[in-house]
Amino acid sequence: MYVKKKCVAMLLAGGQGSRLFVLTNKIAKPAVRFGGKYRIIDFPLSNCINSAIDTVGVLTQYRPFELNSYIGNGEPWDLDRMHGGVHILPPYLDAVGGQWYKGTANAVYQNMDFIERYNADYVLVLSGDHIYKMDYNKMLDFHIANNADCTIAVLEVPLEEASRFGIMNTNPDGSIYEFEEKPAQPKSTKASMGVYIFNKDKLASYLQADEQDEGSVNDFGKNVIPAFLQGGERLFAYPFDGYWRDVGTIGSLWEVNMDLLKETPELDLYDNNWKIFYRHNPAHPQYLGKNALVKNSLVGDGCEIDGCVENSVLFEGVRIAAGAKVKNSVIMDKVVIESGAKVNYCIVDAETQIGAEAQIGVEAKGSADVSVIGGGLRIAPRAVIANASIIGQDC
Amino acid sequence: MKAMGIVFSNSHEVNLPELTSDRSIAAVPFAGRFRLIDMVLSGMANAEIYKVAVIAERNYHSLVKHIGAGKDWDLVRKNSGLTVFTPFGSVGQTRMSSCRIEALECLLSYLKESAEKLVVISDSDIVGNIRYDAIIDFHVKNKADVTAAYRYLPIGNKQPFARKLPKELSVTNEGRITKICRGMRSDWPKNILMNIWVIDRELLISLIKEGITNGYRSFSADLLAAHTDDLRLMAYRHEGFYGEMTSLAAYLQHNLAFLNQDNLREVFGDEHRPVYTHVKDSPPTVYGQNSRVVNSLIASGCVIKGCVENSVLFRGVEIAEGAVVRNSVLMSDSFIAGGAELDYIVADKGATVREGRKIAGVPELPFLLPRNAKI
Repeated sequence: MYVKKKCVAMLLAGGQGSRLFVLTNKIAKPAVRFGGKYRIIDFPLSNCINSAIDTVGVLTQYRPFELNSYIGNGEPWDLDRMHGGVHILPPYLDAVGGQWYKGTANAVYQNMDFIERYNADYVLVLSGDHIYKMDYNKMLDFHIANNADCTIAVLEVPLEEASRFGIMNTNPDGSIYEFEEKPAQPKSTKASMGVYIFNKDKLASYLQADEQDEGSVNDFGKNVIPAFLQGGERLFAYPFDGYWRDVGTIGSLWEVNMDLLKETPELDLYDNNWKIFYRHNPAHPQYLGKNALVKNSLVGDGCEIDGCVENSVLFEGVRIAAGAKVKNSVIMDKVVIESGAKVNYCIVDAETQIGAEAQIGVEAKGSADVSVIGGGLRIAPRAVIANASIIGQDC
Repeated sequence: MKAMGIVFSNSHEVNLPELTSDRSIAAVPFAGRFRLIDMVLSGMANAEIYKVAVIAERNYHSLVKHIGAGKDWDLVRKNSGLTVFTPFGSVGQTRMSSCRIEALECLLSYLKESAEKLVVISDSDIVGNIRYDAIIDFHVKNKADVTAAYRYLPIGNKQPFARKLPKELSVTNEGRITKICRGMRSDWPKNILMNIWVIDRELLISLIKEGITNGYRSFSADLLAAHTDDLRLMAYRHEGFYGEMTSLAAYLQHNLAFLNQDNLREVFGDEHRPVYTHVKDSPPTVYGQNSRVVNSLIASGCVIKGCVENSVLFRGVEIAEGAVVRNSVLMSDSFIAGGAELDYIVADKGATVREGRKIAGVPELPFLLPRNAKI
């Protein structure tokens, strides 16, 4: 017997995130680290539990090992449940062959059994690419109050940026009459956040039809939402006015980390009523040594810092020797920076070692100059790495 | 060899009344993000001891909230795991146990139902990364009936002030204990008993019964001291960092000892023997534009805009711009306002120091800010 759930979340976490280059060589994008303590997926998972949605299917495909072990039984997010909880849903073989997930809609289609098991009335579709805090329950109330078939969360974006997004054109009552993917001449500034709520039965029938359509690429934005519109279903735009960022590129990942260093960050990580949960590693508190100088920075547990750190985000267990200088950078877990090294405008992935007096991005001036050093590498002493380099091997 | 654990959570609270008036000593916060019992429970989990009884006699609200079902130490196990024993009246007593032997008597049926060959007994007012597995190996290799862990204090190494002196051992060259007593000659080198024992479970059961029958009070100085001849009592020497909570000054001193990176890495930074704690999902610590923090241990979730030197800060501490904190331990959610200056302070949880207040203690007598105090 399975306890009925009002709403089940389907979290799309199978993407590679190829525009993050070396950062996603070995891990899926939702497993990319963010903000000194977190992985990207901590945000949608924490939003779910904080919104009282306790049944989440995580659809994985690309390089799932680290993501799967990070999620584990869901305990860090209080999603280890007798009824519901988190479920990893990989593509599978079946009697007639089976296949990889062909697109976002196909991934959900292949797991309708999961949704049916919990007999959910509503399906919340999320993606594992965004940093934001959102009460999905309020959106669900909005969906129900409007008697909608599909509700899409939208964010007001500046008109000049609207052509980068999927744009919803709406009537005064909030209902959607048209959806345009990356329009050259946007008619509205309501950008889709990739957060959808569907009535389960409607979703099931449209996914079935989408599967039959040979011309479809089985994508929610490109196929399923247009089909809902064409079918005359009730679609509503749910306005969200909080902080929401896509971290799909090196530049945006760097910028969203840097946003946390503002005097009053828009993304409040210190709110005890909306904690972002994460999987812990045992570590000692951070130790700042006799020569340490840390300014305007965010630092995680287990760090040992004896050098200078300014405008930077340091993850857990980072070691920075006396005489090293780190500025405007994002330094991930267990990176070691030896004495005299200079690191500027750089994202350094986990467990990389930067040799003494190496120089990275010393002339960099802004987000366009951000360099990336992949994980587990050794950068030789006195190596010089230019602005905007992407380093995937020892040098 | 398979072992189970027994942890005393109220041991020697008399030495640290300032921090144990409303919590057990096992739950005293330590080293920025831990509580004292974390080191014991983690040490046991690292020694593959997955059945642990925690004896909680009084003030155990903080302790029980902290350890829960034992999940954070991987001690939620199907057939064993963590059990908290509070006082109960089924063995003819309806009051708190007045001594260690009475407390152990409450565990008699639990001990009898267990199948483990050995029992590891530990106090929780101690600081160190204790190798319980090494003590067990020593016990087995030496065919001991009882093994006691001790640390060696050379001549001239003055012990910090304590209301209750620790017990000492006389040990032969081969490691056999010949005498257990309190306070031997002060000018001799000392073997200080750490109150960590490994003992055969069956033997422990019969010793507890014997202790009750004879009215013994001290497990070591009365009960075991009576068996130095007929039992093989062996002494295991602990090397490495070790501290005891003998006073508030010792508490401050042991916290500040972890500003030494060797101590920090040995006790809290060993990847193979990690110290686990109850997690709080705190965000990272943020340092302001004008912060100046040197030689300090800082937990996560702090907001630091002022100056911190030679200090230990727990989670969620806020140091405003212009505040100066030196040689102090500030427990979680303390707030130090601008212009305030602290030196040799131990601030219990949630203490607030308002603008411009200057407070100082001395190393031998740190100034205590009680829990939620506002100054």
